[in-house]
Amino acid sequence: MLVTIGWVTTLYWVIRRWSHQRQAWQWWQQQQACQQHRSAESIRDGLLQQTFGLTRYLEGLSQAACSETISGHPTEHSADRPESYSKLTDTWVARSRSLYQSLEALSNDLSPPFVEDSLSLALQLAIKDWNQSRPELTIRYHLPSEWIDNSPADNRRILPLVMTLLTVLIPKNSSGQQLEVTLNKKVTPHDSQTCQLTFKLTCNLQTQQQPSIQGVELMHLKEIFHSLVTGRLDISKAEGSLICRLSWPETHTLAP
Amino acid sequence: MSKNTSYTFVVIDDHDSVVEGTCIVLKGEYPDAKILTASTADKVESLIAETQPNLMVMDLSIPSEPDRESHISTGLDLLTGILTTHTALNVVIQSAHVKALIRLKPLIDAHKGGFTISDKSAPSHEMLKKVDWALQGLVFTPQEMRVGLEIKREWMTMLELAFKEGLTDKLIAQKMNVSERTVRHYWTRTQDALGVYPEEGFNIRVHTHNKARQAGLLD
Repeated sequence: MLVTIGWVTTLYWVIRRWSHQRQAWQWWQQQQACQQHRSAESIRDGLLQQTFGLTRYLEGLSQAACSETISGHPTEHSADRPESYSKLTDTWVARSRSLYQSLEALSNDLSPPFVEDSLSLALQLAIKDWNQSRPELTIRYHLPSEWIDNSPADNRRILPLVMTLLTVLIPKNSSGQQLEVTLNKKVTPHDSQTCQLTFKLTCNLQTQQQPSIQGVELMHLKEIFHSLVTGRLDISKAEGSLICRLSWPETHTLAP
Repeated sequence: MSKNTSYTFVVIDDHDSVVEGTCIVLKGEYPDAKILTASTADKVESLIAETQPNLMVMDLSIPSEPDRESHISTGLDLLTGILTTHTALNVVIQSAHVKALIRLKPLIDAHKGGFTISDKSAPSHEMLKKVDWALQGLVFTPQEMRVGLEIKREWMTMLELAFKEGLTDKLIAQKMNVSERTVRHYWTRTQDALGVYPEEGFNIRVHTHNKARQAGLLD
């Protein structure tokens, strides 16, 4: 009797500790996401605005130089300018735009666009950006146009996990592969809704080696996905395709 | 080439360098235009009511009043009010936060005036193109703000009446029991959904027909 009570108590404390640990990880992850979001907003509200002002200023210089060249009526200052002045300003306009785009990409990495509003749109944009470094990969999307019920906090947890999963599954320089992305909701037997994101990766088996479904990184991702969003990551192979299914319970955002 | 129409523009942004840069570009294209500026949300409603501008160029991240922090929510709230009150005002959103506009999509779809979005990374000539389109009453929203092709039933009906039955806007309006202006509104929304915008040397209706067929909306 005492042994049984001892086991039950131990089990209770283990579960309690595990639950506290999970809550702590979720809290920590949320703090990190909030910090990254603040950094992204600071870039958008500060550096991007200043870069915009600089670009417009340089564009103005470039247009002025161009119109002087066309009209053949140099202003009092233009006699001092070398012939390559127009080209030089164009170069700096291009550099300024490039700086803007780099800063924008950095802010998007820190806080992905649409993540607070629509998981569909956030996924679509993130995967399209990611696909630029894997141009050989063909992607088909089956995403719902309305996805408003999901919690932004969940979206912020799910998106980086999904992108890490894709990077593990499909390294750069992969060729001859097709990826299908499907997002939907399913009603469970208990009348609650489960969100389901499925990736179906079809490889040209003659040229490609499919990734192992037992890799350490995938195991880690399964654990993290379970800890952070109480979800499941199932990976299986069927008819020459690798199927990854992420499912997690839908959590509704409460109105403020 | 500069345009000699005397418009009134309102530019809303809390960064001096952005306001200055935007005004210089607008003045270059519209030298006779009267350009008014505001840097906080509290000034905007009265400014628009008093001046009845032809166009508003607006950033989304702005402070509610002086010495407050800029927030996208402030800009979105202000825009919501403006789109609700001034239903025919032409609007250009020039912002580094354009993706947040997804929250106002139903309101943008219903807006009767021109509505275009110009990312702040766009060069001046692209921004001027969006200004011109908005002044023409057209709509431009980036494709990445949509998942697939989002076509409403009434837009589909209009496409069928126009291209299958060859009806004019006036007859389409009669058949659909709406005003001709509403039909024009459907056209701009449909063209935006299909990614069809004015292009030199292209007939926009023919282009719309081709795109609608490619998308499988018409046989």
